[in-house]
Amino acid sequence: MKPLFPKWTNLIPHAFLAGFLGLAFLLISGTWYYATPKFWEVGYMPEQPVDYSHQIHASKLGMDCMYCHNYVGESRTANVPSTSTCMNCHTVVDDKTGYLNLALSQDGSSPSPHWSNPELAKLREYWAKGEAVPWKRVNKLPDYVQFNHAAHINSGVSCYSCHARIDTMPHVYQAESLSMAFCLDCHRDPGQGMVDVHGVIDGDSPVRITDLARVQKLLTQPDYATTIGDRLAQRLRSAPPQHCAACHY
Amino acid sequence: MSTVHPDELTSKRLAGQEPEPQLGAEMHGALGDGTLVVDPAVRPPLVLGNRDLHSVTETICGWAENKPGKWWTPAFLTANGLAAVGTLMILYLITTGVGVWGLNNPVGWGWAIVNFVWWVGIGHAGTLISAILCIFKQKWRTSINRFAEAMTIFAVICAGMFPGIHVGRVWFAWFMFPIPNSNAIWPNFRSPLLWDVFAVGTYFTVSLLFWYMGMIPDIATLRDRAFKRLHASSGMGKVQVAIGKVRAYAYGALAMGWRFNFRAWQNYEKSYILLAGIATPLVLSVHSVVSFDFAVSIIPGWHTTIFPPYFVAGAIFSGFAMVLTLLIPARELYPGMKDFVTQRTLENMCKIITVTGSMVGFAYGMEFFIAWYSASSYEQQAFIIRAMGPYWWAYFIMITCNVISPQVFWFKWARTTPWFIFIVSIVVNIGMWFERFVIVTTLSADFLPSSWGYYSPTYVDVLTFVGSLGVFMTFFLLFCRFLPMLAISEVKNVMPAADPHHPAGGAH
Repeated sequence: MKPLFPKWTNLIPHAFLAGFLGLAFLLISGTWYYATPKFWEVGYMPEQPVDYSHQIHASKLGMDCMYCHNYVGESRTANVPSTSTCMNCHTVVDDKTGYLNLALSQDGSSPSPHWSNPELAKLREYWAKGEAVPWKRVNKLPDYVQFNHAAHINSGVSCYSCHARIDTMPHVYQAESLSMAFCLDCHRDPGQGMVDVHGVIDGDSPVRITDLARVQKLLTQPDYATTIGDRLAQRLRSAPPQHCAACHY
Repeated sequence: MSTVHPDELTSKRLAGQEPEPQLGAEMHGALGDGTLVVDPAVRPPLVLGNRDLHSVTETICGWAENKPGKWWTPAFLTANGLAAVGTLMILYLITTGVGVWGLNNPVGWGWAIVNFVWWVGIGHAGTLISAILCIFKQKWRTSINRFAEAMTIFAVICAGMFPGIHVGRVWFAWFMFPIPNSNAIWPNFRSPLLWDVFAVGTYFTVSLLFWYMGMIPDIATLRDRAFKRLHASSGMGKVQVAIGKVRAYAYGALAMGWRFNFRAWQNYEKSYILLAGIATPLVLSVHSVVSFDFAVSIIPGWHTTIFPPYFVAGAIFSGFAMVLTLLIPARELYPGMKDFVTQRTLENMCKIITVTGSMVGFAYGMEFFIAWYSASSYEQQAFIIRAMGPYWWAYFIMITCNVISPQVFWFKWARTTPWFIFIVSIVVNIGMWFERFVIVTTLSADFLPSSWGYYSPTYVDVLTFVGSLGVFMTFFLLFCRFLPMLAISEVKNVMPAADPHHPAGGAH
């Protein structure tokens, strides 16, 4: 009688074990890598209706973030500026040179020979129609999460902590994962993300919260939290909440 | 009273110096099938019918090999239908939300938890019979342990269903396990609900291993018989040969290459006793942890230290009742099963039911005593409401079924009459379900009278529970149909024929 199972079937348990371990490894590492906001969210860079560059405005021209996002210190949302905020400058600035040209506003003729930038032409179109520019939102949290910009800005968490060096981005993209782990990382150890805006550690040179270059330099120091951050958190009695209802309500 | 030690008597009998006992005639007060002996010094036989070893194999394997009785297919289809109804109800729940259940504020835990605790409790008999009775060398367990372990596995599967679906958003059920995630949060390790996941998970794993490992030699027997039958199949049609092949390969795969050699048996015995040792504390720990779900909270009527022992006693109580509920019909339906599952086995189980039922009754009384003794008005009120409040009827059913009904087994007639035991076992199962219902509906009246409310289930609640019964019976009927229902090798071990010096013994 031929046996039921040929000899090679003795290898099945080993193959099964190896296959199981391999599959488990693939499943775990695959989930670990792919099933995260870090993989799916970071780097999101939609095409905007007007090719606006944060790099030119915030870095090259040195404009403060709060010139445009002016309610960020008072409101839960960092407001997107209205078209008129853009036009504060772009009615009197030469498109080519970038310098103030009062002649533009004086002659009042439109289109002016100085308005030659096609992207700004789009902006002026919205302006003429009296419409807001339909900017595409880049950094977005799920609806079940409440994030308050003012609370963070006023306790010394800089724009840099969540948006990275947005002042160097010609096109804005999502730089951080903005996952719950990302939030809790800081809420559990606030010293690593706070800067001395009120000058409580060094009264002579408080940090401007929108000075992203300086904030980056500070926060990327390896011993920042132990030398400054923790002291700051302690001095300000900073106790960021970790309970569910802090953000989910 | 016999003055000769039973072992001495047995050895004399084997040596031919004493006549073989004539069952029923010689034993004092013997009734029924002759195993109900009054004299504690007389050891009644564990297997009846003057069987030799081969006939044991033939009978037990026959149940799995031959066509089942006419009752099997209708029973299986009914169970399947109920399981399908339950599945539809669960789908409805998942697609719609837990609002389809009768949950409300303040009763946020309803039938799902009642059913969960009930099923886990039922799942306790298997391990008790196979592990604790094994360690105490209770030989009568050999004829029911496989049966009870299978029941345990299926009961725990049914139990595990409910915590999974009661979370509302089922796709987040993985939150119950400590898995690293991009939310940087873990389950609360101080929560008994998490301990529950570990306790029930461990229990299921160990029970499954114990059950399966114990079954390997018997499955190998079935494999060898299927193999033989396949090769003796000269007159069979093509379909029969194909079925025979599937059967041989299926049993062959499940037997994991078991050979009946000495080394394999040695490893088997060692791992069996090791698993019994591991499973023994689990019998006590699992339902203790389940009771923590309630006892660790601060709800009056739940926050009591008596809960762990009281739950464990209740679990064994209901588990034995469920074994009897299944065993007594099986005894009637499978020819020859009465030779193995003797009336004495049933009687022993009835005694355990009376003991554990009395323990549960004591716990009910003690809860009231402590409520009075604690002088805590909330605790007292909780118990007054429990017995006389809106759910008085549930409390009444619980006391009647759990405390009063098992006391009938003080009467010999009651514990030796299978059909009567069957009825009582069902009554006990109902009572134990209501015990959990009474505990859970304690929520309806907590500290603030302004938030009191009444809970009643919806049809979805009811049909989900009925569906879980269907799932349980589906698994169980499949087990009866295809697997060795009794532990063949263990039953043989406790037979006189296992003695190498026996005329029909193992040496021959």
